[in-house]
Amino acid sequence: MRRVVYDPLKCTACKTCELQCSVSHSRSKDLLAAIFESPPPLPRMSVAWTPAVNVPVKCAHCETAPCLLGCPVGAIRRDRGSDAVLIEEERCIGCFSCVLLCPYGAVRLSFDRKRAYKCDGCTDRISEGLEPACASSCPTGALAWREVEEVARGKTALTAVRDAAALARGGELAAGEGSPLGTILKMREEMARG
Amino acid sequence: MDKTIERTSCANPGDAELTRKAADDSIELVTDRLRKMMPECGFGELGTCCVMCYLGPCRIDPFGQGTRTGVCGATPDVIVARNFLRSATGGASSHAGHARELAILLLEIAEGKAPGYKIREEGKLLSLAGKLGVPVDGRPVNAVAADVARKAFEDFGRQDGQPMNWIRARASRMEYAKWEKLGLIVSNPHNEIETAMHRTSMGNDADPLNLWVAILRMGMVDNFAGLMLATDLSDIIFGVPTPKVVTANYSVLKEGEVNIACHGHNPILASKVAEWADRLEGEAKAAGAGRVNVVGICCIGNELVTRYGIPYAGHEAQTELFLVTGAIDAMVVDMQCIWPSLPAIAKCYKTRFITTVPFVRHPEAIHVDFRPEAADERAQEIVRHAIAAYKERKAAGIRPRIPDVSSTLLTGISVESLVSVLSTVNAKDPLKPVVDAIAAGEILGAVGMVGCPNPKLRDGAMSEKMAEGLLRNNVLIVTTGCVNHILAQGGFLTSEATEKFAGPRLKKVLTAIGHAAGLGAPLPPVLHMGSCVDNSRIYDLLAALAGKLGVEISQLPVAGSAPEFITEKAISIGSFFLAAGILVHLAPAPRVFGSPFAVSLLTEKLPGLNGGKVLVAATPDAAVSGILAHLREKRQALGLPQA
Repeated sequence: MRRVVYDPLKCTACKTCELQCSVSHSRSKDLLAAIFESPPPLPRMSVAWTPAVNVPVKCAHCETAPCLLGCPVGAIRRDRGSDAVLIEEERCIGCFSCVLLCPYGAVRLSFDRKRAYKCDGCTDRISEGLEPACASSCPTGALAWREVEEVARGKTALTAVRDAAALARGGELAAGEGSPLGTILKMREEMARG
Repeated sequence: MDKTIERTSCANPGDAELTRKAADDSIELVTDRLRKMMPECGFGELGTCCVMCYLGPCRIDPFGQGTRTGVCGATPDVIVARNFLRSATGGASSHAGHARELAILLLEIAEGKAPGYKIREEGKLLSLAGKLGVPVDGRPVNAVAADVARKAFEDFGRQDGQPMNWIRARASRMEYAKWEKLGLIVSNPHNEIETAMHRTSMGNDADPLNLWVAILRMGMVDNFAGLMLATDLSDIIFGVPTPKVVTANYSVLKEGEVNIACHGHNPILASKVAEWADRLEGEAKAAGAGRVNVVGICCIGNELVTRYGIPYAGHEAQTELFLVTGAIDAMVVDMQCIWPSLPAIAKCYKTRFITTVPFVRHPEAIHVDFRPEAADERAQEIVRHAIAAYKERKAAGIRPRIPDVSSTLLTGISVESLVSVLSTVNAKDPLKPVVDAIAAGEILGAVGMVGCPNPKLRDGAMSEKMAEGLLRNNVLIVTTGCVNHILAQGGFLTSEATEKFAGPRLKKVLTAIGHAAGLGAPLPPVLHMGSCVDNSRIYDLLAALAGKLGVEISQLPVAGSAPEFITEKAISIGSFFLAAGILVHLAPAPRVFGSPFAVSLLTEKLPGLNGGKVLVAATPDAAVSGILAHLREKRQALGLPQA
């Protein structure tokens, strides 16, 4: 299962994702034409900011989606093919329960402020074999279209490395050179060397 | 046997062959880097990215939800105009620098300090001196030349606010009056450039209209202090181009010869390299090579082909591919359009990459400090580098692959040579046949196709398709700059092209002129007028035509097109053509779309003011139909029949 995943450490807040999101949701799909469209095509994601880090925020298309569960009129559904959580504009009554329920702040008010709208997972682009607009346009790879399992595996590996390093440091502090953990790590090192 | 390219509307087959070779050799090309860059930054594309002060960087949300102004409060209209003015300033600076070097050279020649050069074109010198108010009667040529050079220096140093000598001497009266009324007469290029940088820096000009007037003024700097000054002085020093038929495309490289590719813009260096290539043939033979073969890439190609008939290799975007042939022993560059990617590729094929200008250097390049005073020594040094590289390359067993593609072109169409060709038809009034043909509708109008080939638009063969479309509709094309390489490689600059592409009426008139002029064949439908600085020749030709008809240039059924431009120089040239009241077609889209003010000025208000107008069209069909509609409109206003 693929999702757009983000790495805040790589986000430079250039806002290319926002711009390309707007363009890909315009009628013309062309920047120079899209800027003249009325109503203007709006981005379905945005880059949030703290003094320490930039975070591109978008819908996570949660499995147990609070917006979907909380919609009183059933205007939010899950798309079978793409697994995306979608808002059906015609059925939306503008109560904005979804806005209140979303833990990310990924649901927004439409241009006329009468309906809710959010990331549609670029289902159209994906059916054409393209990546979602935000991920494919991100110049630094802060947003990427990845297998969630693979992301988890990568994190697991990173956790192991991090914890081993922390434990080794902790062991050295506690018992000096002769700690059992230090011995094990040294043995492994020697074995790896052959 | 060379294979002549007959195909158009498609990329050069040599490009495809060498792109495959580059992949085999693991060489990264511009197209690879371009693909990785996509999509390019939308804020930049719209012109609404401002990095001029450290309140920013600021970018304006074009969809109106986010930021509406920069941190300082600058509106998108201000940001776009400031950015555009800085682009135009970059372009005008390049051309003014080019011209100033030639003025310095002319003075050095006159004072006997540049023994490697001489004045080849006394006639042009004297006529220019006359226009500049320099006394000529009974004076030695060198004294006149020194005064002409000093007139140029006077322009660069003028502080009294009076109009530039070159504008007074070279602008037609009608245009001059119009520019004066619009406040576009400039005094000193350096002052204009300084003021432009000053007013666009933090916290100065915030009036978009005032900034756009400055952009048009920068266009005037570009044309009169850059292009025209450079062309005039180049012609005096290196000769006025005369018609000649020359070979183009990859096959101009020769296996078994020492190949030197000259790349860049200013003929001061390349003309000397070409001269010494011939004189050092003996050394090349001693190294086991046939001879030293000099070819011209980019606008040096245009400079060398149009004056000396030196083989016309390829355009800016093909430079990397020329290196990938593995057949070039030395690539010698001066300035402008020298991609930083080149030395690394050159290294892979043991090509010596030689820079020659103090401000155009690269850590991987060999630097030969070229100065006109020591031109002969330096040129010899460069040619000897190439001969040494030839030996090394042979020893290293580098096997060249030169695509078997070639084409021919007729070049050397200066205003002077065009008039002399036409005067064989009508000695008293040489331009009459052209004016008559335009008046009768045999020639619907004329379009100057200029500028660079941009890899972004190369896949669509933008230039070739536009040329086909215009010619079929009886539009005459004149061309300068790198786009000319494309059209030459596509076979558009030959008599056969008239048979093949020209509409019936255009074909009739070109055939009549060609035969009357003794060519024995039609005049080509696309006329090569030189390098990108030679856009001044196009202006001169238009001024002459307008003068004959007794109208302003802006009333003529003509247009300019930079169908695949890359550089800031195209922005400043385009700004001049706007100031002159001409329709300017641009692709890719200029970075003005983030400003509603700029869009309405360039497409609606300016046409009413002086006739100048921007046409943005990224497909050949849209460009051709936009231009044709404009030409028809102009014809109708003049009461001329439609073709």
